[in-house]
Amino acid sequence: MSETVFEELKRYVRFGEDDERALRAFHAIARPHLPRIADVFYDRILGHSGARQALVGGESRVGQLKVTLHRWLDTLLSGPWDEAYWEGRTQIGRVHVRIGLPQHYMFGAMNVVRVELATVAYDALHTRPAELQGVRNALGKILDLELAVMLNTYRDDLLAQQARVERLSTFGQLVGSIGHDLRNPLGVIETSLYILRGRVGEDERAVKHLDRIAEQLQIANGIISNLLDMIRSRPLAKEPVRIGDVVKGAAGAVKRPAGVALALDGVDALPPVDGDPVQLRQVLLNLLENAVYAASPAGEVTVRGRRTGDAIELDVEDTGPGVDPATRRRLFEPLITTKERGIGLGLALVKKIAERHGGDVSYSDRPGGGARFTVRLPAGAA
Amino acid sequence: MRTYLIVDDNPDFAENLAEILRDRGDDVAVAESGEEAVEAARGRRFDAVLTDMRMPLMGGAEVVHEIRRLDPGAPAMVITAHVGDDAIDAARREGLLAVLPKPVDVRRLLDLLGAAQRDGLVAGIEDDVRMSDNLC
Repeated sequence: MSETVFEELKRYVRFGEDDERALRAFHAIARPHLPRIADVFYDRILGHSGARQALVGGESRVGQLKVTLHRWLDTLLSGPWDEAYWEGRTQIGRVHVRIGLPQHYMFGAMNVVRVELATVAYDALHTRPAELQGVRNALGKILDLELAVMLNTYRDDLLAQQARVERLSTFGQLVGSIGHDLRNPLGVIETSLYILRGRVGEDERAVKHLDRIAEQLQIANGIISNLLDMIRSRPLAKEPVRIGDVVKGAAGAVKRPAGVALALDGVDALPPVDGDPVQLRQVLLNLLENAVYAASPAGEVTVRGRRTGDAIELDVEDTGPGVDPATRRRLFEPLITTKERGIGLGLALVKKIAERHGGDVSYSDRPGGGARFTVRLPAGAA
Repeated sequence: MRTYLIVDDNPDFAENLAEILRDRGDDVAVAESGEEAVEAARGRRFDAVLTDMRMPLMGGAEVVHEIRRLDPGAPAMVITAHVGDDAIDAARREGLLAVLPKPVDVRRLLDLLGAAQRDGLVAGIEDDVRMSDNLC
């Protein structure tokens, strides 16, 4: 059977039974010091604002983390250093990646552990140099192995990101060619429409339907342009847009089951925004469609508008299940979807459009349950 | 009465445009490929040539080039769903009246066709900012 990664690494650093013995013997000496070492560790981390930001949850969280570190130190020195050990360390590494802990903070933290344990070893064993040397060697090896695990998990994450980027680029090409291909049949429809207009005369209902077809054609073209824009990144044309009208237009276009109520609050009082009305409509359409889907078959969707300084904020809320923490971090990435249908472009497009208007979109939990998406846009020049 | 040549490998689109122009009293020849278009241009002068860019075997830029060899003064316009194509630069170098995106603004197309003058090279290339935004 081929070697596992852990076995291979242990072979490289020559971590063997002597080291295991030395660590276990040292464990008895070091045990009373471990809580203090955990304190030093977190004091050091909280001294760095960058690392502090990665630790959400304040003091009780740090308390929890210290308990976890204590356990980590305990296992470090007592083993067994088997595949389950490696797996456990890998899980911890994945947590670091997930919370976005920068790699160099991890190095700094490891160094604290190294220095503290070396000090304990020296203080206890400096009169027994052979033993001290054995412990130093063993500690050096096991801490290097721990570093290797951490680096591995960061690398795995990087590879996964790379794969996502590649998928996106293929996807982008696909979307691009679909978008272009769609323009052909739309061109035929448009020109046939032109011909029909000339032939339909005064027939009111016929004219109404021709107008309707023309309007839908505009929308279809707009969607294609948006898709292609998203792939290519281009400056937008800007005009003063009344957000209230955009919200109402989009709300009218989204199909809602009878059990889902829709309420608008404060959107008419909003000052105009400098923007692209077709793209802003797309933002509202996507958010409202998601909200209605989440709140179905019975629930509420609310759109709230307010002015904050020189920006406007729009909340789109639903009484659905909300977004779980695991999905939240990747929510606005393309190709993320929790729906059965749909390809997961909706929120990515919302984010892109908001940002190109100089604004942003964010998610928060709706108080009382459900999701709340907040779009912020700069208010237009007065 | 003017005579136009429409070149597009999408026959429904070509026929629609032809119908629109014939309704206005103009004469229209339709070609579904570059080869057919060059044949049609042999021994016949058109008031303007309207061609798609992306067609199999012979693309729009080549069509314009070949027709100009037979008829150097022919005004040419390009319609394309694939704006942003590199080949458009090649077409432009031939001297074009306009590059129009699909779906086409019919009224604008009719204005341009009506204004096309032989030997009067190059007029507006899409001065609508939003449209020309599409021209990569």
